[in-house]
Amino acid sequence: MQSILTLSGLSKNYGRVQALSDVSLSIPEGSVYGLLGPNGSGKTTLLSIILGVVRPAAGTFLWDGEQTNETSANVGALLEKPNFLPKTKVKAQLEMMAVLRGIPSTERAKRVEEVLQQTGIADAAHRPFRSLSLGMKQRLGIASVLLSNPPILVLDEPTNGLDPQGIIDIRNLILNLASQGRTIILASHMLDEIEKVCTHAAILKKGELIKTEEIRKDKKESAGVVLRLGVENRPADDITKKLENWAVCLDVKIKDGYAIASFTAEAGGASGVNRYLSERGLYLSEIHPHRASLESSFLKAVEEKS
Amino acid sequence: MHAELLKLKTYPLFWISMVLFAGFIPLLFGFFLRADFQIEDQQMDLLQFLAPNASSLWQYLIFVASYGVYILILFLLSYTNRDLINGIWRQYIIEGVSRNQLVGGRIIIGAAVSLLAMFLLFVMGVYTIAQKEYSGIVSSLWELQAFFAGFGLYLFGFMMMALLLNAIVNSTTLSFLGIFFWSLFVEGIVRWVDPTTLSHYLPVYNFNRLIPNPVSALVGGGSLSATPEVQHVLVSLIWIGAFMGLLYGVYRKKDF
Repeated sequence: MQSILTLSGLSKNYGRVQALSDVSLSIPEGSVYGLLGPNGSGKTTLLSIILGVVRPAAGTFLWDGEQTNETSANVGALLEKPNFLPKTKVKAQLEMMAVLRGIPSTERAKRVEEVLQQTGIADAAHRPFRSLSLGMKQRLGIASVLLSNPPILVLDEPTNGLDPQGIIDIRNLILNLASQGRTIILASHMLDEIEKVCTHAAILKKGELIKTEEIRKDKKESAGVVLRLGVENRPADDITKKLENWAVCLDVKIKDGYAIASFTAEAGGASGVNRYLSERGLYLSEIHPHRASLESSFLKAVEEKS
Repeated sequence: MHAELLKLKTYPLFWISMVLFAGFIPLLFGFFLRADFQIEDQQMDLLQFLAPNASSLWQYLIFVASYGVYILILFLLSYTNRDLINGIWRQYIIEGVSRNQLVGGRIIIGAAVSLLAMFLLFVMGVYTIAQKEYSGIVSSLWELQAFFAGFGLYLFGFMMMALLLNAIVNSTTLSFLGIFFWSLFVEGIVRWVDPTTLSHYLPVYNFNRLIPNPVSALVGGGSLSATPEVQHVLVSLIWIGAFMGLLYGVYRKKDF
């Protein structure tokens, strides 16, 4: 897949605080790329640099192969919080943005109406920005991003402040936009959000890139089964010893007194694993599906770094 | 610029400052128009004593209107900081507007406001002079066209200076006070230390000499020339160019 954005050695410091340290990564075209990390990990700084609002201390970035220090014209972005004039009405703000995006005057009103409907804030069109709830402000930010149908979207914590239904709506909107072939770069500290929406993820901590991961690919590889196994009054070690030599067992490790093992589809699922072990004198007292999620990957990567 | 104009249209302080500026001249001249005094049983009209003809009255008008620059500075600073505080410039950069375009847009607004102020001065001046039935209102202004242009340059110069200061301190209040502090104290101290050479190249000293000062001419007993001196125009232009260049430089490196 062709790379739409390439970062090489990006660093940024605010005084003595190192906000970003030598980050290099490549974002494939058409991917939904998640930037995952706790607060203060450098996600917003990274996005601010690629959008041209913050100057890097070192490093370069290329939008579609072109080196620049500004944002790409094909990018629509929502960074941190929506930036609008507090007393100006929602519709007027979007009309101003439409002018800025170069949308022809004949199409402006129609396009503004469309994005108001699309993001569910049509009822608030004549309200001033400052009177909106946090969630509605966030929706307005997304509406503004969608105005010119940009092929690349950069969204920084887009579900911030939204209620559960709002989160689902925005998530579905992102998935819908991604299905249209757009490249989406999404920063979030919510593992669940990244996992549900993204095809790729980069994990950041204290300004450093810890790991990059292809989420969908991992899921396919572990499509067999991941199980948490336990035997009463016997150490988990006994299970790992039996499984280590089984060809269909991809990986086995001990966690919290249980054996966590992943198997290919040929293992025959939980019943196949149970049968295999019982035939070898190990009668499982516990056998549960274990979610080999991005969460474990994230925690592992963060722990290793610490 | 189109988006900038839409934004300006909805900014109340823009209209307030324009009304204030337009009202400033008649308000001050209202005092002169009504004032009279008595010398040896003879009742004298203050305005006709100070300005016996339309040309000298224009000089007073331009001089008095020059103090309105602080209204315009206040508008431009608060308009710029409103955009910065609300992240509008940040959003514009995200939308693909370059920093140079943002600074250029603000310089154009400064120039447009200076032209608008000149127009308001012309309209209010004609109205004020007509109240006193002076003759040759427009032809007298034609004689003073260089001072009238100097008035525009004076406004623009002060506004560029204020914008540069604001780019550094990021505060309407501090920038506004900074202009006062610079005009009254810093340049004052330099002029006191070195009254002959260095002080002649300071920005405010030269900006002030772009407009007529009929009061000092009256006190000094001399007469005013019809045009500002070329040296002051050149030094002012150099300062304005430097302020604009530095403004671009500061914003080019700034994080939003």
